[in-house]
Amino acid sequence: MNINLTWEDPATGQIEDRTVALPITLGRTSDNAISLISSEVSRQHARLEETGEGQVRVTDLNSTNGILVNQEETQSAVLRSGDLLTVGPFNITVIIDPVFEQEAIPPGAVVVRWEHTPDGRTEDVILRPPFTIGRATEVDLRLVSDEVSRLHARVLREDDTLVIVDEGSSNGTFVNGVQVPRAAVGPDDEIQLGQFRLTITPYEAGFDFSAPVSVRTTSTVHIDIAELRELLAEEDEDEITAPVPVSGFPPPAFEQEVVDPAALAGYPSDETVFLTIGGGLGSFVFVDYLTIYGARTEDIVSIGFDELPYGRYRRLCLNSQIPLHERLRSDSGSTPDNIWGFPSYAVREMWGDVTSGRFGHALGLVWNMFGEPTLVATYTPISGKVFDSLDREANRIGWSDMHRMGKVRAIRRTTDGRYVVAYSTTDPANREKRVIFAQYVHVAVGYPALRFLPDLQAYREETGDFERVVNAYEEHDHIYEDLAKNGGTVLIRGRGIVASRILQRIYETRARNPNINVLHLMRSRNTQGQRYGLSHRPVEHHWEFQPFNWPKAAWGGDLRVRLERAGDEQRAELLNDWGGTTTADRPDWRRIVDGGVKEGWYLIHFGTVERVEPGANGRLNTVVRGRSAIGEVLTLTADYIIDSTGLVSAIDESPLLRDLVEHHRLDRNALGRLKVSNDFELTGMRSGSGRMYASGVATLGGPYAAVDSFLGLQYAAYRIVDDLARAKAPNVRRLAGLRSLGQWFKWVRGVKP
Amino acid sequence: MTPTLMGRWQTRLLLLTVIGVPVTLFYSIVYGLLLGNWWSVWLFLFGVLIFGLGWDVLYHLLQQTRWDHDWPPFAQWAAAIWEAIFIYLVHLIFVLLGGAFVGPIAFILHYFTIFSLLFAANHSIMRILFPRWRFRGGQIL
Ligand SMILES: Cc1cc2nc3c(=O)[nH]c(=O)nc-3n(C[C@H](O)[C@H](O)[C@H](O)COP(=O)(O)OP(=O)(O)OC[C@H]3O[C@@H](n4cnc5c(N)ncnc54)[C@H](O)[C@@H]3O)c2cc1C
Repeated sequence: MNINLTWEDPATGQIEDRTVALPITLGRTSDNAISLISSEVSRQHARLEETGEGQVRVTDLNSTNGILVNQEETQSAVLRSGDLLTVGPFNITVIIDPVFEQEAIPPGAVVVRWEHTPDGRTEDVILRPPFTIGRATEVDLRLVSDEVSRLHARVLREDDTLVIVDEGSSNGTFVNGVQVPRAAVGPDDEIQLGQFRLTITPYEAGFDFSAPVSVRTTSTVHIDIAELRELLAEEDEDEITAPVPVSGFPPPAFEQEVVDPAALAGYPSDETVFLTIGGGLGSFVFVDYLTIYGARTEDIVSIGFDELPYGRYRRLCLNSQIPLHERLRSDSGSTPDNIWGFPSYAVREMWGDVTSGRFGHALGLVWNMFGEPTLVATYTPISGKVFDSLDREANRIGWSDMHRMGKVRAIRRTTDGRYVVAYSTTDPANREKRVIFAQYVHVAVGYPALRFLPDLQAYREETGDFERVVNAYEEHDHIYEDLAKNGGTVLIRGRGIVASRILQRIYETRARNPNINVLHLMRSRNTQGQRYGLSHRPVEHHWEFQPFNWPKAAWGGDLRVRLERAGDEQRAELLNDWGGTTTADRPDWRRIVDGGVKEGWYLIHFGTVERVEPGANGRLNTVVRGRSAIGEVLTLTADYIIDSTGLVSAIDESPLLRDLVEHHRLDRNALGRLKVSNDFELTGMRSGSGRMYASGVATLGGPYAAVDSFLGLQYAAYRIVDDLARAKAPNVRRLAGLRSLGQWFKWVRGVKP
Repeated sequence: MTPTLMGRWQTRLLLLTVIGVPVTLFYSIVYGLLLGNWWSVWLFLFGVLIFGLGWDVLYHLLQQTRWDHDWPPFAQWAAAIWEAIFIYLVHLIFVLLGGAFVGPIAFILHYFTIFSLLFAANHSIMRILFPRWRFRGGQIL
């Protein structure tokens, strides 16, 4: 028997999706069919097997931390399709093969369709009588509204008829407009509880639900090129085309293992000492260090799509609802414009307050710096201020003299011990295909793609509807404008920081139009946060909190040291232990969630999505397989779906990195990303005296966890530039002591390093 | 900066030497001239250094119970106050054994001058003179 298992990988946020034949074991070591790498998982943790009756049973193999099925501890349990199996930090949804699945629908099941009359929300739920209806979380069918009692009514089967019994509700149960203590109900009868209208029809094979479960075999984060182009159109549509040789570009000589520079005669070319590819924040921070260490600007070239080093970053921030006046999720001392982290953003903000007479606010900041993160929420800088500081530093180091706008197609080693890079310039006035030689190369190309949930991707492909189903990182202001005008329901997927920002924006929009509801669909419940050693993360309303996206000590404390010292496999384990989807513990966000739950406009649902399809009146139906004991199926109806599950970090989604790894047969780390040394060198790319380095999310899984953060980019830059100093790269001298102090004063005065 | 144990030790040693010694010299002269007590402040400095190496182990263990394994400013102040109380109690024991008595105000002045300068140095000049220090949990070597 085949079953399908899906879970979110804590280290990368990627959805893993496996179809396996039973029996199998799950455990930490690689001899298990499903290996789950975490210190909370035992070597051989659990077994899944088929029972004599054709059911699926999970059994704990005497593991240290045990297993949970639907959040309850168990030794051994029979699983139903859609059940949630928890093993350490992994929440695994088990889908049992379709044939078996149909049998799992209990005979005598009914379809309850409810409609919330004020806003037209509807849902189909498959249930088997007897079942309970009410507002409380414990009932089988939850209808959240003040007019519905906690336990409102019960539906049971008497012989061949269905009977609804009022359970002493405050507002009564009505059948066809008449209040009843108890009544027989047929398919044509209309039941009313508060403002909910219900009909109950017998479940029949052929109901949508019986459609076979599609057996997914690929990793689900793939976005096809055409779609990505659409998504990132604003950037450069060329960005996402694979580096296919178009009319001899990249040059045919690039087919060779190592390129002979003579074979490139005829292509416009130049050379440099230091080349950084990407031109984003990672490149900027690297160049900042490099110039401060002494490298000459004439020796440095950066190539990237965007004019500004924070171009793409700012776009992603704005789209994901971080306007310029909002605060980022970033430490005060993470200052990409200043390699020392002093003065921190908090100090600068305070200074600004003091000089403009806002003493109250300044004092608040002092308290903030003193009390965070336990006594008050962590200080984070304002996004617009960060961009301004970057402008100032870019000016100071002469970024615009070093940066070229272009798209890099391929990177090769040369026979004379250097590197050559093929790129096309994106200056519309002068579109050129060029090559550039360099002695030292640094790559920081950021996230290769937006992540799209497979069902949403399928929906968009089939319908071409890019208006109603969006990724949170796409431009999607039209949604809030429409909601403000006409009200409506939004379905949010994902529960990380971006989901918080979206929810905040909807909350603000509700002030203009209270007729807005939010359905939040989560893959699984979350009642206890991730554990690591003696500590664990707090949880509220199934949202899990952490000030930053990794434990703080991963940046410079004991966890950094531990990860650096660990072997490849153990690194994957630690990253799974520390990772997982979290949001920031901001009091305003917690109030919004809590208020929304209490006021009823924000509803959380759990389950695995089977598909998304067009519904009535241009709305969207999301068919969800829930995990209640009777295998319910929900249809959630919404006007918009916002996928907030994040960005893709798998390097195979970047044509440039994929080509790099494949052509040079580079090693990958345990998470399949670029394998770098502790100094962020791609050791497999050594070329004579030349060296190549990488930083950013492409190196996740290596010696450092927080690679995709301002401070992490600075960490990588310092390791790289120190390594360059040891390699005696031209003019690069290790920085410390008085020379560092001198450089810092230059920063203060805003003069060139 | 999120300290590691090695980083705590090295930073403590360095700062108590570079900042603690001159400050203590100053107080030693002031208290010597005013109170006739030239030596007690040196014992305080030495005590904070020696006992501190042990307290650092405890702080390090406490850090392990926090998800972030960090040591935020309020913990730094709490630890400083605790160490002050402890060292003053040790001093009182010495007094019982016949040592010289230092009044609480004189003690607090000396102790918190040093601590405030240490705190300030941790958040500023250390980062500038040792640009790698913050990435290495306070380790200098
Ligand atoms: C919404 C959001 C908020 C974040 N907030 C914070 C925060 O508050 N604090 C924090 O520390 N971190 C934050 N981060 C994480 C991190 O700091 C940023 O992602 C940062 O931009 C990463 O820098 P990078 O250089 O790796 O990538 P980017 O800044 O994205 O730069 C990569 C650049 O490479 C270009 N590129 C890609 N392929 C090619 C090619 N083939 N040729 C030429 N150019 C190419 C891209 O166009 C892009 O401009 C945030 C991330 C996101 C997405």
